[in-house]
Amino acid sequence: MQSTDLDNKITGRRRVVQKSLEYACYSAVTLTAILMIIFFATLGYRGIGAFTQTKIEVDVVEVQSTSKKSINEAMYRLVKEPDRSTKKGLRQLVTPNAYSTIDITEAGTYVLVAHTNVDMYVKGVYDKLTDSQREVVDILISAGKIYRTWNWSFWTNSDSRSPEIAGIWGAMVGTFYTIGLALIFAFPIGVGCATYMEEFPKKRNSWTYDFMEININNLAAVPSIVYGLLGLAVFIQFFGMPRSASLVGGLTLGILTLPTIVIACRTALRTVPQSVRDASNGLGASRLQTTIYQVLPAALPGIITGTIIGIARAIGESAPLLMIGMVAFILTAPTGILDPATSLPVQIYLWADSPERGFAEKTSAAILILLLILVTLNLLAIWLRKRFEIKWK
Amino acid sequence: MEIETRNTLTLTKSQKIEVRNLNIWYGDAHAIKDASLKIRKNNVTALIGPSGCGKSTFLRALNRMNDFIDDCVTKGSVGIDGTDIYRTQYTNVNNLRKSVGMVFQKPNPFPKSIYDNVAYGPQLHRMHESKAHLDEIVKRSLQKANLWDEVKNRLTSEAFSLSGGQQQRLCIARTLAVEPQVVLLDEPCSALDPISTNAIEQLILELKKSYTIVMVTHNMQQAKRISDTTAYFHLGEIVEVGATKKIFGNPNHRSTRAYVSGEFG
Repeated sequence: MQSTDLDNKITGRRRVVQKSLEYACYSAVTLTAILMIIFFATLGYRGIGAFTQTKIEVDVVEVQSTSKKSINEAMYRLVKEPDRSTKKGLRQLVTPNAYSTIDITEAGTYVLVAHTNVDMYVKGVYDKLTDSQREVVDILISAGKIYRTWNWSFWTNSDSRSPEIAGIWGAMVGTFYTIGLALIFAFPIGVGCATYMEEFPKKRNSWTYDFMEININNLAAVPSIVYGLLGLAVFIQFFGMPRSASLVGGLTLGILTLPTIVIACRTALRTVPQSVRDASNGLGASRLQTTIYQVLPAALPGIITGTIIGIARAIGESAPLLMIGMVAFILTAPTGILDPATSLPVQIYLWADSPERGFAEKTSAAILILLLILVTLNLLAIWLRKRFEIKWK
Repeated sequence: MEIETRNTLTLTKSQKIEVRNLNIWYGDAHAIKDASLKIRKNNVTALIGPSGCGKSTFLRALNRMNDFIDDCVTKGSVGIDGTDIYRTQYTNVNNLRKSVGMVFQKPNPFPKSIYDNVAYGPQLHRMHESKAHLDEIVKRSLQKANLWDEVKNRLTSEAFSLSGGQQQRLCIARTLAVEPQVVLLDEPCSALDPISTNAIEQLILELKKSYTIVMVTHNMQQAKRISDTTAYFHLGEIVEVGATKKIFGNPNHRSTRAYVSGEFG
């Protein structure tokens, strides 16, 4: 009897083709991973500085008429009999915003935020200090009067002209409002549209159905800046909504997300087997009841996953927001949907465009945070799908 | 005379369903050709025939499930208790499907708990007065389907956790929960093992005491074991109808004899 040799290895040309394909796939994956690591490492290396802040301790001996004068006088004491230019240099060791944020009423030691030049010098990024400034700073560093701390103000402040106190809070709130509105706007319409197209196809070859089908597929491929133009023309020009408001941003991003949600939702509805619809209809449920009670709940994990991925795309979107004026310089976080606002990607764009070197690390840090949000959302989508997906038998 | 009776289908007391001159097309394909059949109350009527002969289409016509198929056209009349379900456009199709329930070829429970599967129908039609009443309906339906003893301790577990035979009995319980008068079974045992099949067959014999049962089956032994009347379909036509003993013992038609003796199928 002839026996089958199962241990016999695949040889010859077949093996070469199989192996080379295998290695091509491996190397593609490895290359992607390496590029991702380089990307994150660069961002991390450049952005890590933004999470710490340089503080300067100022000993106020006599209180002057204003905080500004008190601080300036305290700074002049650091050098014996300073001349005019030295005085100017000493004044500029402290952030110019310190005067308005602190109220000095009695003598003592005050901790102030150092000027961006000091900050950069301490972090070793670059040295733009004058000789007299550097001398004083070196002395203060060795005396422990200038030191780095965790930068809370990066999380709690909004944008500023001075890089040392600029933060992302305002942009985060703006993103939150915009994306929340986009979700409220796009989710019901998207799910409704997909449900109509999948569950109520009365006449599949009617021109309305074809029209919708073509529209949805084309909308998904439209460049995002075009949505910005649409938002500008329709919401601001025609409906007269306020410029730079998160309301307009939300509606615009909602339209942008709509095709993604519709396509994901249709796919999810198609995975629900026909037998479920038959079972429900066979019990005397109307088409609508079947859809609401059986088909939509069964498709929900897929719908939510698709929506999260659509929303993740919208979070990273900046081009349409530029068109509708959300590229504004906003000093305080918006308190409502009609307030001027900006969003995280637009904030990154603004900072990347700034001439001050101090904004470079803020830009990298903000990109890191944005990427972290996106990764979290995508992980959430994967988890939801794994957790709630129905295994049809 | 013929025209008059078309509008008021008169049935004798023992008849439940009367199908008259039923024609069904899928697009251009003529699936059912001029089929007429009378179905008796509290009887098991088996529809047999080779694949693609239109048995399932015929069965689905009895509760208008074919309406969901886009290019399906139905002509003719199906009278249930004397009412033509196709003639009046005002027929409440949902109520029709409630009183003519259907069990499908593959067990198709909803992806929910056992309890929710059975409770879904009564909830749809608001048949229950209270939560306790709904519990009672669920219990009674599961008992009728001989499933209660097996699942009474795990009503909240997933329906998919049941075996295939249990799932099919759950689907029968779900159908019974909305109190139908007619139960249509579309090859209910084709996906089941012999033991589960036996359980379902015993169940059908019990159910025929209170319901009118029409079933499609590929298994001729099964038709022989449990049906009272058998209709033999061939190429969309009803070739022969008669008592099961007659069809399997001494059929009139050559084609029927060939099929039941296993010459083709």
